[in-house]
Amino acid sequence: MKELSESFSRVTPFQIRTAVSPAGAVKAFDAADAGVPKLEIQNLNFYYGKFQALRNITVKIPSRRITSIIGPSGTGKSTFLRLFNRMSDLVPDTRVEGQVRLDGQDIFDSIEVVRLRSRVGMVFQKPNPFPKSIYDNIAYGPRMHGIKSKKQLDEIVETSARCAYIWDEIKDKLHISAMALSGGQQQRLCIARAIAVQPEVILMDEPCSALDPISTIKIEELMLQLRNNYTIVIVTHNMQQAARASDYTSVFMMAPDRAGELVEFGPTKQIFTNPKDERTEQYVTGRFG
Amino acid sequence: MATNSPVRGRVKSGTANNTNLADRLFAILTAITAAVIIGIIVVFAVVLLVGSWNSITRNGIAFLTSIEWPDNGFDKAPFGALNYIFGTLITSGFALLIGGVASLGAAIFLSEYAPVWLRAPLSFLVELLAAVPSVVYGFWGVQFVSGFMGGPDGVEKSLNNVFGWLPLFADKVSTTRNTNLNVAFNGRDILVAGLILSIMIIPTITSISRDVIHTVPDSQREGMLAMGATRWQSIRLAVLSYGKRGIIGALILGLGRALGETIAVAFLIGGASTVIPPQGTLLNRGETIASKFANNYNEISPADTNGFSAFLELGLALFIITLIINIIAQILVSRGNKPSSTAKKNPGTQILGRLQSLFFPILILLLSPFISLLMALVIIAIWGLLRGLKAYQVRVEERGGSLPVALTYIADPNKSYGYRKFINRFMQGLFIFSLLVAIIPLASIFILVITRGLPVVFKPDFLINDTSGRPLFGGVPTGNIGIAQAILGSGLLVSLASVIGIPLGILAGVYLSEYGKNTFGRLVRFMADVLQGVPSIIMGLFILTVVINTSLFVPGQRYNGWAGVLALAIMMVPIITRTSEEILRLVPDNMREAALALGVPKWRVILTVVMPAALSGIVTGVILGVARIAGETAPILLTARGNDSFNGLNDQTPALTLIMYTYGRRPDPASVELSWGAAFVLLVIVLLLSFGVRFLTRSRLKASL
Repeated sequence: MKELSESFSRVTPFQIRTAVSPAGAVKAFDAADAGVPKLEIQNLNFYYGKFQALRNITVKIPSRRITSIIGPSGTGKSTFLRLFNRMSDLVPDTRVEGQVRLDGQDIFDSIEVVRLRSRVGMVFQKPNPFPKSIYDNIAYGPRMHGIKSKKQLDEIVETSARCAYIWDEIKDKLHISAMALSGGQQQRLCIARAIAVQPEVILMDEPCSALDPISTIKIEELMLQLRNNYTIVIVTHNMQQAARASDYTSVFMMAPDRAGELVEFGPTKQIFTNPKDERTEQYVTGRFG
Repeated sequence: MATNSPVRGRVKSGTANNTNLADRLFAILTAITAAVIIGIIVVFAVVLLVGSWNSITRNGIAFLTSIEWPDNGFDKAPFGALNYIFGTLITSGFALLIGGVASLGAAIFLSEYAPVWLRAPLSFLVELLAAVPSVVYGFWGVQFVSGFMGGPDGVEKSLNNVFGWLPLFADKVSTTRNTNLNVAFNGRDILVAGLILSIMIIPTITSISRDVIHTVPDSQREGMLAMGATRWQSIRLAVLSYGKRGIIGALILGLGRALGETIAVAFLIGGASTVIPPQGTLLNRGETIASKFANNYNEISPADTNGFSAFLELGLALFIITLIINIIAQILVSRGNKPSSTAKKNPGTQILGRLQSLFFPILILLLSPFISLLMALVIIAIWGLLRGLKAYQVRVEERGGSLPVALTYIADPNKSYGYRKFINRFMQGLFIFSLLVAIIPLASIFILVITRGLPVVFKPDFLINDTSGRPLFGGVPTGNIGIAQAILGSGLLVSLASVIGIPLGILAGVYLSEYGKNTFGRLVRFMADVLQGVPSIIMGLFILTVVINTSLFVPGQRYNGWAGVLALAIMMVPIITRTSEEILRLVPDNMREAALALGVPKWRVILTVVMPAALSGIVTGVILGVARIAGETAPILLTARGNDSFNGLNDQTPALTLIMYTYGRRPDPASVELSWGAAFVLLVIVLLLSFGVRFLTRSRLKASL
């Protein structure tokens, strides 16, 4: 693991992928819909009361790729992310203008919010397992979606846990409280919990900010695996993480009136080596933000 | 819908499927239960107002200024409640003085002085004090406190011998017939009622002010101590001044409790006479508004239109007083944690500041009817001299001089190290004494109830027969009296009330915590607090009026079990609602978000994640609510009003507390014995509910987490 972390800091993202991904993953990488826009955001404005938090954002997030969102604090990155499964509904007195389309369907008009959230899962900044057993945490979503059979649930729990690279650590203690796991394990459990409802998109809101470097590497490794089957959008403050573990990067900056704006979107390699926007260049080289 | 969707305005073209529908239904269901709380208060206010309208128009202002309260209103005599209003104010004021000081001392000792290992058990004892039903306090007071307070060589007689020159402890009272009556010294008077009230409000004030003191940051204490302040100085200057508003709020909540307390006072206050005007002696008998209902519950009859209306006006008056008191207290407690805002110096605040400096002499003058005018003037003169000396000392020191040492110490004793140390020790002793004031009565109650009550419980047929001597479930009458019908009645009343009150309370709590961040939610929260502050006797009066006016439940049978069930259910709803809300709010938002992000509808998130996480707290709240109503006497005294046998809920329904109230007031040994037995059973039930189940759930839930 130590070697891995060292190699991560040295090489470019695309080298890493071939270095750590098993062969099967590389094949799936070329799946038919990979790269096709999954989420299309058009002229999006978002307001907290009278304060405009996001202005005029238009971007297409590609399917089965990892898209990272970077930018200084307070530029609306998390707000933007939380719009995709309408967690923003939970904040009173907010308003959306513009469109967000998931596979061409407007998420505010054509998709019922509960269904939307089962298609667009989320992993949070702080690991937040339920105060239930490990098994019940993973099985919670499927159960709520109507799967009753014990056999089926067992299967889902095992597959999800394997996908989240945590199965080996928990298989002998499925029925102890999830609170007894370490922070990194809890976060992978939360990912397993999100996977268990088989979403199409996984949103990650700074998933590693509360974790130590080794757990962080494990999560990044996991993201690269998941990319084969899921569209992943990740907000991160760690630019190296964006560089290591994402295919596309979008950069948010704050306008003079404090509204967040998308200043640049493109393949990660391009953003980090040859940015078009001056602010992006200053930010990724550490001179600003 | 209570959820704030940003797309609320738009037309939803998507399929509005059942998850959405279920979400709506659940939100509406909880909102309806919350609205029930508002509905109860509205009906309550309307019933009291409409019912008392006759009395308000007929008696006018004389209701507040006259002391004449006729036995009934058939001859259209006017009603005057001055004696009861006075009795309420003087007993509550006395209780606030004694109980307030003792509670503050106990709270300070518990949170500042007591060794850490001792804090939990001592707090537990204070909580126990809160769990003892009021009828047990009353009975214990009559049997024990009256015993050593009254009588020819009781405490009251000695007080009179020593302090008889103070109006407070005078043994003669003047009457409206211009004669003097001698005080009876029977241990049933304002002093004893006030003492019992003091003990009863200790747990309320102690626990709230302890919470307030806990919110004072340690940095404040450390800052004071680091400057060389003694422990007491750091408490006085840092802790108490920081938490001033919250502590005053706690005191006022205690006052609210004292104002509405019924049964214990009814046992001990002796009853007012219409020929003795309100006056300053504590040794005379009196009556409070609440105890008037309990002492005269037989006179509250709808046949007597005028009398009934007058009783309703009396209830309305008490309700309004407690309402105002509780609102002030809630505002103070909820804002108590925030440091007071820096008000600008305007003429208004300057005048207020002047008045504040005159607060002490004004207070003493107000008390002069109780401590004689001469003494009040002497106290004020000494106070003025000391202030003058201090001002003079400041002026001399500004010029660079100094006063003689002796004068300095009188003007500003804090300059002497020995004095500061002495005061610190003295206050510490006072705090320990305060705690003892709280704990000794508790010990006395438990020892007496166990030694006198336990043998009675093992008497033949005590738990099998009813009080008329027949076995409850049929069989040959043995003639041994028991309390089986009361246990059955209490059980039925409490469990049926729980069936109504628990779901209502929890659902309303869910509404407040999960949907209630709006104006409606704030209104419900406020109304729940109002409902919680309604004196229980007034709740009984309200239900009685409703039942009589609408022939609810059982036509022709004014007093029946169902009315008692309803009164108790309404009493427990606000308790459960507010505790459930507080606990549900403690569940971190990220749990809700995690579950919502899995595509689970909000109502299922609430039921499967939020509520299980808060389960132990909700259970505690529910059990506290049940324990509280199990010990209630006043609301069922006017509704269920049970007797010696159980004839079903359609008839008058007996209860343990009612049996204690009826028999505990009789002097004959058999009745007293029966009451001790009932007290034992009641105390066991209430304490098991309050603490036993709480410990069980706590340990079980801890293991599962």
